[in-house]
Amino acid sequence: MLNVIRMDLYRMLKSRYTYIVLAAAMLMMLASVFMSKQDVTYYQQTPSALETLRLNEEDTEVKWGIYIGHVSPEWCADAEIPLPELVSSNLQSHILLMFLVVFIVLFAGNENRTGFIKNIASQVRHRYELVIGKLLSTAIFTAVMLVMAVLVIMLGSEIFFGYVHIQDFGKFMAFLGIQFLLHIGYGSVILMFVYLFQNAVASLITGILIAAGILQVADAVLLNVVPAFNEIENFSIMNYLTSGNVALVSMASGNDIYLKAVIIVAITLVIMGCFSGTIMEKRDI
Amino acid sequence: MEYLLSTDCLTKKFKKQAAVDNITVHIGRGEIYGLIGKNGAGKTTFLKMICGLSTPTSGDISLFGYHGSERKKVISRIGTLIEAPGLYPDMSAYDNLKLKCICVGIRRKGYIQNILDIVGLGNVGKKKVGQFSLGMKQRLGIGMALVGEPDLLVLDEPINGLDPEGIAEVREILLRLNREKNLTMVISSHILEELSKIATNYAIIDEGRLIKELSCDELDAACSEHIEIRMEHPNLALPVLDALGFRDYKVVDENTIYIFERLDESGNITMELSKQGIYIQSISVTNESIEDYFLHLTGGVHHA
Repeated sequence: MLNVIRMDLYRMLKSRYTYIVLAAAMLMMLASVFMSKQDVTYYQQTPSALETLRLNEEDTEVKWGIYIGHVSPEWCADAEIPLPELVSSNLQSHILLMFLVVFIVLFAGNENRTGFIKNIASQVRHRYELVIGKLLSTAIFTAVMLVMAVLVIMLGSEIFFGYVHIQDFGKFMAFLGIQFLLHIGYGSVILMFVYLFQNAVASLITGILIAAGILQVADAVLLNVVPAFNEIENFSIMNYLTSGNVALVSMASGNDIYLKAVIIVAITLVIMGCFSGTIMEKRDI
Repeated sequence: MEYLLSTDCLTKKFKKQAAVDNITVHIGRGEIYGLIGKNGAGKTTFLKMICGLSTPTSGDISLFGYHGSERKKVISRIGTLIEAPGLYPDMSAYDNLKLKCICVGIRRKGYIQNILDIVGLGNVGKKKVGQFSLGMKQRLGIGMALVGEPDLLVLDEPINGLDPEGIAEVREILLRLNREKNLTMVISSHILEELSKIATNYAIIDEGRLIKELSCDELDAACSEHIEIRMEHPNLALPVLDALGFRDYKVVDENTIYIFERLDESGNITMELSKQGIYIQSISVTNESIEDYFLHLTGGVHHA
């Protein structure tokens, strides 16, 4: 088992995809901070637009999709924008989740696509070890990506806003920890798609569409089929998915939201891990 | 005789189609076992089952004396090159080998370089595998199969797509490994003349079924110059041949006798059989190539 993990980590370090995806993600983070700065300046100079933004912000429910350069009305006041808020808006926007999807499809899918799996599938005692290796690599990649994102956003804040304002450090760390878990949980879903579809394009499109909130279309169906769901306030299937919780969990979330997110991650990891492991064990290579 | 690998009625079905149908073979230690068959005959599926990459629908595989699920204990003693070599194109040959070394737990210094030297890639440096020629990739694929000191090498079409020089290089590598390390090999190919230069035993499969299992000597005999008599009931002719003093002959199928001696006496044989009232369809002196022999057995007219 340890050998498989070591092998995957070695490959992750040697693979150019790792660095390409990280670099692209960080460029996007920098661009996002720049766009936020542009928008803040615009809203500060255009009070009517700021008022519209305030009204929209009050009406808008959780944004389940992928977006870039989010601006909160509070940022347009004269006070400094806290770094944790800049980071959380970029994590909740699913941008990093999208890059994680790309990485997993390339990293895990490459083993099948190149046929390298034929060299190792019969060398391991149980093929599910290969799934665990990929999950751990995903976890390490996610951790590196999150740390780098925080550093790049910090850099962007310094460059574009001229300051780095850190507050609520403990809360920020807890938020990052939960987002880290949610990203790994979603990674396990993508890994399952990679093994199930054995097709990079299908896995990539499915992963990005789900990250973009496509499963919201199921809400109307579920509300019709199961009337009891109507009694749940603001029911959406997204509330119970890892991708949905990436958008839902914010710096302002309470402990109950955090706990629910952790439970969803645990259930997702177990179910997806079992699915992927079974596919690997049963499948002909 | 104790076999290193044997299969018993091995079958693999995809839906109702049998890709491998009741194949029973026996492979001894040190043999180079050639698996001959047309494209789509079931060679790759058969090899995948041996290597544990595919699960048989029915039948059993015995590997180093282990059967059924017990076979998992020893399956890592097989080195495989199935279909195209499985390599990461954006990594060097060294890194590709290193990945497999890490996976099987080998950390010996100089081990990877030694394998690169064995397969003739000792001086490729950090060149990415994506820039390798087909022959280099094939040799690296063999190198990958050698990681972990396997006792059995399973190679599926290892010379496919290689130029004559590449074929000769791969042949030399395989012969050297067999000679120096007493490595047992199962090699599939549809290039029969090439396979005949290294194999010690053969299995001919067609449409998923084993047509014939024979040794190198038996194949040589079948392909050497001989008198071929085709007739309805070969058994009737045997006493006549005995009476004429023929000893080196063989009934090869239900309508054919091969005689490997006194090749200029076909007239005499015809006359004696005629005297006994035994009707023959044809008698001729022939010299089949391995390919002709294969086509004769499989009844095929397609290229093998």
